[in-house]
Amino acid sequence: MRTLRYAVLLLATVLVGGARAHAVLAESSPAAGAVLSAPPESVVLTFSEGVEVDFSLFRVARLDVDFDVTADDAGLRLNGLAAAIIGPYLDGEPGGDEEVAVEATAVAGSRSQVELRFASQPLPPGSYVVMWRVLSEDTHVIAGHLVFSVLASE
Amino acid sequence: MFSKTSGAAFALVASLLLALLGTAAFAHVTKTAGDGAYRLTVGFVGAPLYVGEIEQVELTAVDAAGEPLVGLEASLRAEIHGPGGTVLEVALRTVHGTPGSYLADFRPTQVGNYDVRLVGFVGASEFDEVFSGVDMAHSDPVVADPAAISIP
Repeated sequence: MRTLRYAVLLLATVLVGGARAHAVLAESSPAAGAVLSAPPESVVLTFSEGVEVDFSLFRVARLDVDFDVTADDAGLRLNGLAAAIIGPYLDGEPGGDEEVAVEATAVAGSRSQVELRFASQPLPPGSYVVMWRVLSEDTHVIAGHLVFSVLASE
Repeated sequence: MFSKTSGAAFALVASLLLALLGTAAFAHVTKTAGDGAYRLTVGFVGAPLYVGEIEQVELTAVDAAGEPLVGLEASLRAEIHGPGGTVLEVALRTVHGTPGSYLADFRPTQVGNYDVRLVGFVGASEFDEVFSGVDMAHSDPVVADPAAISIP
């Protein structure tokens, strides 16, 4: 089933590669770049149109961060780290030593909403990247990511 | 080896692929990041550039294995440096269906030279490089007066 999903997603990517209009992430909770004082139980992604969760990929990884995530340039730095792993993760070949995959289950919410529930609760303090390659209802495939951080409780 | 029919079919498919996949970037400059772990190539789409036209900067990023580097739209800031010390920050956007490719629009309003600066992070490495417009466009000035090609 998993292979079939990848095949459908790949086929859709090839067939609609040149399409112009496509869904985008409309909002998320937590928001992109959020620095949270308490860990979220899940991440909710809301797209601008309906998505097919069963034929979409979602991945979450914890980034190896050694800087202050509240600093002015922290957003750029976190996204730089994320950029190095998004491709391998969405292609099913995560191999980096500097990040840790986080198990999460994608659950369809409303037509355009997906909730990623973390298997392990609570989520440990740290910085995370949420990645997706989504098949939307109009057959367009969109990819994206967001980062957020959870501060250690004092 | 190949029949005439299969050869013709191959040529047709190759031509279609080239037409579909080919982009209009005519010249570009490549710089590395992360001690050579990443290659960032920047160029103008559709040189020569003219005053008053909406022009595009194209960034293509790959890792050491040649695999596209996605997500840089959130880790890099792009600036257009124009004549007289003018600076315009422009947003990089992804190109749907072409992972690792990004575009940014700008509209030059004066004849002169324009450079592109990328600032931010690629992987764990800080990146701050200026891509010479003259080198990318193979033209000095980078942006020309369209009067010479205007009609009537």
